[in-house]
Amino acid sequence: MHKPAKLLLVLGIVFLAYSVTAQSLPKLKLTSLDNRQTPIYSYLEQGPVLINFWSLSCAPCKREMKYLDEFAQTYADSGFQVLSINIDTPRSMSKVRSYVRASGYHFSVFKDPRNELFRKLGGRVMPYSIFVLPDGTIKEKHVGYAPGDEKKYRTAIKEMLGMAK
Amino acid sequence: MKRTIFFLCFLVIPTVQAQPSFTINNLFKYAEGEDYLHREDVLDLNVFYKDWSLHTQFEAGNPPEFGKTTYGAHTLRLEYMSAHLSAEVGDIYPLWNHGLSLNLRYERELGYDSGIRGIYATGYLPKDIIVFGVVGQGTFRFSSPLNNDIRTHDWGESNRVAGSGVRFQPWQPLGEISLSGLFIQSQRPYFALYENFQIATLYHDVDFQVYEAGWQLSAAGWELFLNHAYQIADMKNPWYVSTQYVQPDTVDHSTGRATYVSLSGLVGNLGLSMEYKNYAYDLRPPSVYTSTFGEEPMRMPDISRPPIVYRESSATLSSRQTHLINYNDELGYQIELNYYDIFGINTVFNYAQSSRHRFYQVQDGYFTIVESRTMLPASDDAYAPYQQAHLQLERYFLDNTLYLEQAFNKFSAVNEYSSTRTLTSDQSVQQTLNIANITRAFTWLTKLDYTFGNGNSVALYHENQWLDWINNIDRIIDTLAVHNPPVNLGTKLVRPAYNRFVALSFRYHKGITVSAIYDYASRTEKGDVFNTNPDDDNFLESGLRDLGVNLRNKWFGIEITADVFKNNQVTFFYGSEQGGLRCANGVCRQVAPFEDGFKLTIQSFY
Repeated sequence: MHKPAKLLLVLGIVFLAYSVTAQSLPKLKLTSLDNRQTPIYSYLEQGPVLINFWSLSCAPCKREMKYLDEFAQTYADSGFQVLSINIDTPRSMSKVRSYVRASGYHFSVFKDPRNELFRKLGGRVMPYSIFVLPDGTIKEKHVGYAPGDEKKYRTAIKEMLGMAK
Repeated sequence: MKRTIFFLCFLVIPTVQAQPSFTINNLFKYAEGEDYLHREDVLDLNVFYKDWSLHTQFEAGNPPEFGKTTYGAHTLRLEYMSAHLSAEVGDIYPLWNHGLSLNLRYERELGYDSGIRGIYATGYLPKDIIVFGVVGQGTFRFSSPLNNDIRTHDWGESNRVAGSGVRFQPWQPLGEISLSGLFIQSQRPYFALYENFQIATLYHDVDFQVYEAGWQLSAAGWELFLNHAYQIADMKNPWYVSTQYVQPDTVDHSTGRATYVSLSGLVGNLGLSMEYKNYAYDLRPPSVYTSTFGEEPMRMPDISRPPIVYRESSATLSSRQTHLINYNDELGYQIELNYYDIFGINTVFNYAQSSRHRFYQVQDGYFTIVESRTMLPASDDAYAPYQQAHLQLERYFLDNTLYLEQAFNKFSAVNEYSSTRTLTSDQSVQQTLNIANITRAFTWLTKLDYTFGNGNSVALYHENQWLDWINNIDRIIDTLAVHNPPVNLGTKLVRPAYNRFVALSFRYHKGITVSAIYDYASRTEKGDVFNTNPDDDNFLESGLRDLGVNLRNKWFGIEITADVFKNNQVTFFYGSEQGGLRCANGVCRQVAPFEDGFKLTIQSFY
């Protein structure tokens, strides 16, 4: 079989398999900035989460974080959490700590220096956000940030909290 | 075919069982411009089943954006993860500490891939002891100095890697210590002139041993990292290439070292981060090598990649003028301050400085090493100093609907330096000729956006850059007489330039963004001139020229991005792009200009 045909066959089977399965969050571990590992599902016990991938060199990511912090505070009583995952390489890690601490954000920040989680969760472009329901079902994903997107985020979070109740 | 069967088995088994998870991301790219074409599709598929996961990336490119025509799997990796063991088999990208010995990266947007195929395992033992090991081999592909097409890779360096290490905490208040050793058999290409200036391509087989120690301490809200690596290189088949013949080289053993330190913490509301680098993987003078294109066969292996310790700008014009780190000979530091919410203004200040450890002077035909013995970077042009200061201020107004950012960046780097000293035959007059090529730039960036009540927004991005390319020539005549001081008959040539980049965007709240992009350069470094011939105009340029716009050295583009069915993002670009240097995570490459065409990108994620 020619290579392109083989590739098409593989892709066809992939999509077939995908179409018969639910879209749920894989059982992965998060690593905090001080190297502690926590299963991602332990955060879902409290309510829905928004997983957000960012890096220091990504200007839209930092713009978006201001609103993510606002959401994390506003909806904390409803069990909503923001899990912020930095994907800078170790070369920038000391600056990440400094940035996060000075910013005074209220959400948890994790690190993914090898971009493993980012790629495993289908990321390619930043910022990359995944909205996850308490049962692990992925509600939606969002790539990029433009001013005004925060309104869409707020709607999605409210919908998740409505679904979670 | 075996890989396909393996892949299908892994896919089908979890599908018929309970609770598998998938993530899928597909990227389709098509671009067609003047003398430019790429069409590629990249599919990332990850399958998760209990403690196992499979990670794949399939590629179809004819031709792709970077590299050669390809169909098939780029990445295939099986992972197992439990409380006591994590293991990866296939295409792996391990990273140890800060990458002084092992840091494998995949930067697809830059066509950079230093990954290897092998096994990487980590064991979690009692008392917080972590052991890890890697074995594998791979080929790091790159564009050689002989390659005319900068988009393709025409050469590769193969590496066979084996190593292991341990991380432990002897006493918790003292922090964590890590120790590792890595052995690399590297086959490195080497280009030289011989036989009436024919170019010879040879391989050097070099064995490396890299030993690394690290210390991480967290106390009272501060973090300290200290990494040191020691490298031993042995050349197995040294060659000496003269203009007439090839014979064994004279160098077969060298040692190198690298140190990286970082300290970060909070002082009141001020975030502080300080980093220091001292990289000396290969400090020997060029005279010990005979390569025509300056390759150093015993340089740092490409599977290592320590921190760059300077600010890598994401702004369009600033990023085109960047420092190119020399991992084999670099000494420097960086300080970054973050201050948030002072009068509502968020402030970031960054200062970085670096230089070489030593420079080489050709004296009467022989190389002489002149060494700087300080622990801090030198400022003399001879040591190729680099300095960069960056100040960024941002603030929200009108109940967070208006955002303004101002950034200022000052950059200075000596890119090339040569020094030659000659003495007259009667030893009465000494002439020193020092030539330095320097780049200095000042960049001012403004970002402004406003969000309307319905979620629509407008954004302006405006960058100005003032550049000087300086050719500093010192010709110092010294009569060697006590009463006659040396006289400098040198000259200084300055070529000023001005660049401007503007993007104006409108975002419709349903997920559609339309941007107009304008890029201007008053002159280019090589002196090339663009867009002066009306016969070469594209549709957009033709319309602008009819309106009386002078298009010399101007690039225009229109970009439309739309979110389609939540899981797809479509981007369409029409026009021209200047190209130039693009960097990410310390990896830089020259990107080819794109003229008079369109680019279509469709990204899907499930």
